[in-house]
Amino acid sequence: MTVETQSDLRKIYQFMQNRRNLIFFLVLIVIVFLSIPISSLNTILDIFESSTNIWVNAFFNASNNLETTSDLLGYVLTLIQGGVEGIFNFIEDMLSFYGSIVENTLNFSFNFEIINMTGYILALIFLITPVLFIVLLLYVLKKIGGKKGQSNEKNGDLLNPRNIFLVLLIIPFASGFLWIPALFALTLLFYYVGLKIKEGTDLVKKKDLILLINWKKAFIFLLFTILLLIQILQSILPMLIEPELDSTLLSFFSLKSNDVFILILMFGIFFIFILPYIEILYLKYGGGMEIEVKNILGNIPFIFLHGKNPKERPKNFEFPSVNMVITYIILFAIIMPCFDSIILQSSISDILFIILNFPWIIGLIALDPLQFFGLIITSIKTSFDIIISALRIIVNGFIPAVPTDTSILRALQPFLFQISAFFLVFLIIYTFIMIILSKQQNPVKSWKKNVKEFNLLLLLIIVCFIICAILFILNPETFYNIYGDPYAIQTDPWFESQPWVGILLFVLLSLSTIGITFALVWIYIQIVVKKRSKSIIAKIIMINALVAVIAIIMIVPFIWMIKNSLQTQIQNSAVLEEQGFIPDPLTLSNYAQIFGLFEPPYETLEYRIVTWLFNSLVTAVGVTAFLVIFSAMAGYCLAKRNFVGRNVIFVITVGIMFVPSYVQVIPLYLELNRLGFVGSLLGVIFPFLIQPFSVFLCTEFMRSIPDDYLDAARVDGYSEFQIFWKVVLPLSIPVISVMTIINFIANWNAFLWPLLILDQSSLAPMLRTLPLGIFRVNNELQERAGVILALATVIVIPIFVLLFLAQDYIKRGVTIEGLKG
Amino acid sequence: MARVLMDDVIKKFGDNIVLTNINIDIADKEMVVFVGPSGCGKTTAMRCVAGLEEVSSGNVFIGDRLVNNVPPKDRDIAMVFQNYALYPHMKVFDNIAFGLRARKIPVDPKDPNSKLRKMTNKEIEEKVHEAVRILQIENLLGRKPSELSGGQMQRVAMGRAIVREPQVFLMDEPLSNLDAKLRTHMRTELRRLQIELGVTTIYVTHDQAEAMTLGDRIAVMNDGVFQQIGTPEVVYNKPVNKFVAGFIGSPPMNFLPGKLELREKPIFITESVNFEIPENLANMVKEKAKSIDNLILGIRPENIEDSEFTLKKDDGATITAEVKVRENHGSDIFLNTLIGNTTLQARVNTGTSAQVGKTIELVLNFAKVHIFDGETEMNLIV
Repeated sequence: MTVETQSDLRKIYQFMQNRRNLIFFLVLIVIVFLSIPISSLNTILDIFESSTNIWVNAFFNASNNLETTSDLLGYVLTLIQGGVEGIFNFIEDMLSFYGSIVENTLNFSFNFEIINMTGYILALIFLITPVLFIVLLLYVLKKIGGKKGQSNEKNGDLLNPRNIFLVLLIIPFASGFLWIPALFALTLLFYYVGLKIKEGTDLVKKKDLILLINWKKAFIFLLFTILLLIQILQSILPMLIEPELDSTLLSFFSLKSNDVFILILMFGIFFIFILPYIEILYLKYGGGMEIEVKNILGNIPFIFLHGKNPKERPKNFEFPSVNMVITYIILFAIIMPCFDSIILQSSISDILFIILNFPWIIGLIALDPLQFFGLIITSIKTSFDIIISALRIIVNGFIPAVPTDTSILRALQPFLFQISAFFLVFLIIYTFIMIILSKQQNPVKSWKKNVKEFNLLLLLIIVCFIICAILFILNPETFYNIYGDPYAIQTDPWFESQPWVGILLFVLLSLSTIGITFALVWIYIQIVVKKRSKSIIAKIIMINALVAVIAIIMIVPFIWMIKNSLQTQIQNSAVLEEQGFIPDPLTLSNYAQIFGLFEPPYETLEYRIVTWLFNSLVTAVGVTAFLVIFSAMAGYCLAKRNFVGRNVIFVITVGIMFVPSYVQVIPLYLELNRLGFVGSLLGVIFPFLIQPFSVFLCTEFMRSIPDDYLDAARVDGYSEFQIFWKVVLPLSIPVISVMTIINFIANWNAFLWPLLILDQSSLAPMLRTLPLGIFRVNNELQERAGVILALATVIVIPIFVLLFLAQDYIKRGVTIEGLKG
Repeated sequence: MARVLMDDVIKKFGDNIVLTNINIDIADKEMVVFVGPSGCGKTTAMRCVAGLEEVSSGNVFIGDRLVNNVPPKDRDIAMVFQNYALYPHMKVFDNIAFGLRARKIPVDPKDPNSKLRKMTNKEIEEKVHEAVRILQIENLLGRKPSELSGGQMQRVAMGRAIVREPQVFLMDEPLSNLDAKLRTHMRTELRRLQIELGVTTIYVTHDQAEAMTLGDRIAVMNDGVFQQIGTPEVVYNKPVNKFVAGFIGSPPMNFLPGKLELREKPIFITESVNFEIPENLANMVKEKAKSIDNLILGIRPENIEDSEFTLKKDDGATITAEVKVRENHGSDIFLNTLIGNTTLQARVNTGTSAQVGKTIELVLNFAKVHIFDGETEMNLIV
């Protein structure tokens, strides 16, 4: 290498160093725009074209006008008029275009880009799931490996989390995705080369260089690499799922020209990232650049180097926490597909259009504000509908409708199963090793110390086992093997052919029932009798007996529902004893039917429960989430901020609480109809986003928070929003949990309003929520009450789970809830 | 570290004037205690320094910087609250680190104008550990505030203040939630810490004992006005007016309203008893008083002694009183006595033979007596 080329290289290098942010940004933009499908680009081009038309139109009108009159005001007015007219036409065109999209996507016939999102997400999840699993594994290993590296070493170098993680890293990818480990490996290689050189060289320290690679940029880089891979995989994946489809080499390499270009750019970026290492090599062989090697080595961005050489990291450097990495991955997984189909195709193009035609939009607002408002609302509604229908299609894709279906779950099942099983085995082995290790040391002490850890392990093992079991059962083939044809009504119960099973079951059940009952009574008596007078004991027993009786009365219908949902023939007997408590014959076919695991023989079950479940979740979660956030914000303002009219607003809020909700039905319906929200999920969500009772509840609770908490945060340098987010919100968890539960249950069970809004249009079957769905299929499934009961069970489960999880909060919030009465 | 200057500060809530012409110059590394009865505006004055209240007029300086329009976070202060304001949902570590997480420091520590960055977790951890080491609460880091005792909570609150290494500490009755014994202990600790760290400190309290023991200087406040600012000795021995004299000292000073009559020897006449007072005292009073017919004589209980134990007996100052209550404090005995209609608190030697219901001879030390103008309540003997 001559001196001249060296200096040239050096110049380029320095330029890249100085402008690295700019370069990075430009490359990012190029990548993002290149990954946009052609049709989306056309949409954007359309917007540009029509915007230009509007401007030309406006000026043309104006100049025409200018010839006839020299009045300046008239000139300006015609200018505005021309622009506004153009915009009106354009927006109307656009909305009708959106309308056609909505209709067509809903009818499954229009081959729009959104449809491909199923494949897109499929690929994304396919790739991210193993990463998530591995991150989770790392996290667990770190947790059970001991605290802060001390006991880590004690438990043996064999189980060094990093070692295990590095080994595990290769396993999931071994099946074919060698790209990512290859990139990791390449970086690792550079890292070790860097280490070697560092040991051999003695460099002059200089600080102003190398803030080039930090983990955030590297992370984005990696994700873009994954994005690229996904694009390639989109063509490969169907082939992998169904190998007989098309497995020629040509289809394997059927890359678009865009992909190739991105590929080149990716390597360009990769080059920028590894530049410092090259710089080291360059230095090694006679360069003159001065770098602080510590900085470079410390900045190596990948999470799996977490434990390596902490002393060599620069002082201000930090590795991302596992939580952060997971958050980034999830965010990316959500944002990227949205970026393609949702943002580019709907609202962002509107925003682009508004920016391009800003003066005319102002004119439009001035001339006809109501119509403008209407247009905005309609476009929001249309965007929402596009998003929801796209997501609905994706969700429908999760569960296979037919065994040969290429849905996400089907594609993922074997993989998830392997990973879970592997993890399970690992955990069990690890537990044994832990036990052995703990016995070798001070056995009693370490056992007590490790009880918590073992509990955690046990929990993890159970969870893994459950996941394995569910995945195993949901696999249609295994399902068929275990339960036979789920749609055949079982007239020949399995129990009858195996009498010993029945006897065994009976003996076991009766013995365990008697045993448990006696044990409970014994414990109960022990607790109650202890050093108390007879009258008190009698009182306690009376009260508890009363509670027990009421509880039994309450729970019997649920038991009956669950029991009958597990059998196909319902005994129409009024006497409970005659029916018995063990389903006979026991079958899961009702559940199989409602989840549509197989091709449903019932043509009447027009749309599957997954759709209803999705709609119910969207409405209940959507309303609850926004309601809670809005109420908390409003409550904070009303309780803790001083502004003019605060008390008036509070009084109005309380006043609105007294207006019965049924009075609001007709005016609200009319208004929503005028806005076009009838026949859209937004019509069920939008009216309930703010409710006076929740605001009132929050206000009253937040008043009890001492001002000193807020002042302390203010002095510490937190902004108002941060104070709300970090201080007030965590302190308000009791009231927020109560609010969440009340509102979630109310919206989950909501019937009247969804019936009015959602059951009207031609799209009704797609839009039904669960209660609505049951209501509609009730008539069609009269002879199969088991299916309906299975449906009812499924509906109740989420609320049971919620109540179970939030028990403590509910107890704590009972006093607050008491206000509602 | 910096000095704090409040220059003609006035604070109004609506039409209600809370602070009137507050002037105080607090030197670097000095500890000044704002003391006064509740509702006198001492906390408001401190909150004006903190920036939690805006001043209606006047200027507040921290260091050389005018901070009237500077938000609290940029004033480089740390505040300790009466109820500690420890966030119940955070562990002690996070509570102490809370202030650091919002903070931004220059990338290059030598150049304060360089780009700002957030502190890394490692730096925060180091600082927190440093702070807890000073306060000796290393073992509490993993606990939640609800698992702490009062004294521990107080230390954590202090930790939250010192970890930020501020220019000024502001403490709003930080010891008032502790029991008496712990309060005395923490008082000493606090003072030691303040001297060790050398941070300018404003301390607000209503407890005059705390004020006397803690402050380099005391600022006695009443009705939104600083009555007197000075070292504890000055404030105690030379109170400028009746309020200061009565507020500082426990048990409080005895006040006897009366008038001065100038005979051959000046006599101070009260409702129930007459004293002969020294001539120089009388001359001083005569010069300064608006009218010698309306005066208040003030004497601290420790300047009244059982006549058996006084070395120098002065006939003019010996009085006979009836003992109503006898409080034994171990080191002293407090007597609540009655002369005619006037009550007198006396602190006498433990060897006293005083019995409840009986009379006792008391000697008043006129070298330590104060005489106030009945109208203006100003001290005439300064």
